[in-house]
Amino acid sequence: MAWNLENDRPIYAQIVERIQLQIVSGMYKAGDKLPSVRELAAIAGVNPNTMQKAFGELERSGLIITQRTSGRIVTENEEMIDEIKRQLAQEQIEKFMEKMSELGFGKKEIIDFLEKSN
Amino acid sequence: MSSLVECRNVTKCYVNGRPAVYNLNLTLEKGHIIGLLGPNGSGKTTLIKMINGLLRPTNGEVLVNGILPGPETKARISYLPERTYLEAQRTVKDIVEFFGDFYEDFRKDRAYAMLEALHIESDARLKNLSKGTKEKVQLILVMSRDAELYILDEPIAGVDPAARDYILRTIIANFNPAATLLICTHLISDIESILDEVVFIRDGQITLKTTVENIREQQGKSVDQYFREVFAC
Amino acid sequence: MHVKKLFVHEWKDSWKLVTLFNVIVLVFTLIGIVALSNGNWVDAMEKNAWYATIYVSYFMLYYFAILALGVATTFYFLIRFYKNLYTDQGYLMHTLPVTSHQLILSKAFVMYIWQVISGCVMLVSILLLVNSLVLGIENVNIFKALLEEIDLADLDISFLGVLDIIVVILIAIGGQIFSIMFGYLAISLGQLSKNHKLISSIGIYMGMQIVLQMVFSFFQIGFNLTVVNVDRPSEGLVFAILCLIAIVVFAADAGMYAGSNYIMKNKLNLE
Repeated sequence: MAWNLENDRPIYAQIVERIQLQIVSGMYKAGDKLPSVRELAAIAGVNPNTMQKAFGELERSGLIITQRTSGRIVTENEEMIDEIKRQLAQEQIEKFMEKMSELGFGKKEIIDFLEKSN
Repeated sequence: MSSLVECRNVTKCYVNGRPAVYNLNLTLEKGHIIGLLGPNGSGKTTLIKMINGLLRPTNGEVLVNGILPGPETKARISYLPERTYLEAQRTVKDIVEFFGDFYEDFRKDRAYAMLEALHIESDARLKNLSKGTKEKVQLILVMSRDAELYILDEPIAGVDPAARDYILRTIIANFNPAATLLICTHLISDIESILDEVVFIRDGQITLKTTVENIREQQGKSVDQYFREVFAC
Repeated sequence: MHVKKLFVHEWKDSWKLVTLFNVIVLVFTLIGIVALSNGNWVDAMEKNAWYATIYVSYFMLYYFAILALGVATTFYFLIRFYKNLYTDQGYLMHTLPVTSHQLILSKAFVMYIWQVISGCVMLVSILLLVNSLVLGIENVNIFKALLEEIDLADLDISFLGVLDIIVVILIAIGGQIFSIMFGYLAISLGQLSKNHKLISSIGIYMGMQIVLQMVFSFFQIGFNLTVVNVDRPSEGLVFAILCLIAIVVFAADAGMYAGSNYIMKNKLNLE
């Protein structure tokens, strides 16, 4: 199935996020080989050049590494993956906090609320 | 120069009425997937026919790889017209062999593999196939060539969503990175994500040529939404 | 060679139907030879109304079979030309890496071969049947009688006479090509019409036929005035006239070919 993409943002940015998520969630583990640009473009239903651009972005960040012999792999640096995981979590928390404060919850109330709802 | 198609001041007038294409300039580069988007009667099909050598411009010139359309350019262009052009008496296999005979860049094994994936019997006669299946056969034939330029006129209009997904994936997976794909359609949202560039055409003239990502970045909306705004009645 | 491939495909796609019409005529001929060579059928017809009906129906069916073969061999190929090149199928044919010359020549060649084949079949069939009729009634074999009458050694054909024969054969070939190019030009002109391509083609075909008839009569009048008035036309005059006819026919062929090719190349009007 083609990936669901949002309408209002550049596609390559959404692909970058999607692949980051797939890596931190463990779908691709540290050191795993990634599909080729073309394969992944076909799976995602996106333009290969756009996929290439997203891979370029991920390479610059160091999350994926291009090897001369075996194509692209996920970095073996697990700390980096954890770091990105924390970053993503941080972003989610910020979004969450923003929404909650719109609803009128203070930080303390939110913590209380979270403990109770478990 | 990496330009594949070059239209210079192209005008096409039919016998009576206003020109279908008027003083149009357009350059298509190699290695791109381009959407040619425009409302009905905007001159899309006329432009495509001129690139394919089915029509001659009244004025100006269309060049493919630097030469006028003719047998040499036709050998390098793989064209999917809106019309069904298959002879009803032939079998699917006959037409695959026919393509193999005339186009040096045709890959029979690829055609048969795709036919099998879409459960189309190669012994079936074309007159016994549904309209949707015939369209699939034509698309398979066109995508089984290693052409330099693919021109697809409404490639997914009559095809069901499942086959549409397969076809889009096939287009991405099969076409040569150095090749250019020109897709002419009004179902933009379905193909938007596979395009590099879009060309808007209106009243026989190019009104916009830019990348999909540019539109999304600058307008904060999809090409589909933007198209609806620009061409709102 | 693309023209060869085009020829092979055109042949493969068309041979079945024309062959069928030819076989029907041959079967009718065989039935006729068997049924008519024996003179008894005349008596049988007089005595029995049933036999009479059968024989009359046979002659009618034979007539229709011959007619159908003639019509099929011309119009089936002309319709194929129209459908292949000027309807939706044209989107395939005109985007093949071939020239308009190759498209026209390959089709014309297949049509020409079938016209020759069907023409021979019709001629042989009619000759055989007439022979059987005469054999049945008069008990004379025309072919044998002719062979006995004509002593080849007695024939004294001059050099110009031989040339005459060659030119007449050329005229026959040119005439056959004429009928093909005539149809192609009518169809090519007809497809220029915006909405009614087929009807326009047929209309133009008939219009061109009328013009052609007029030209023919004109020529005939001229011919009657000049040649027939001469008591005994000299051999040289006959040869000169034959050559003139041949030149006119081939010039017309070339003109109509060029016209069809020009339209196909520059004025293609696919919907």
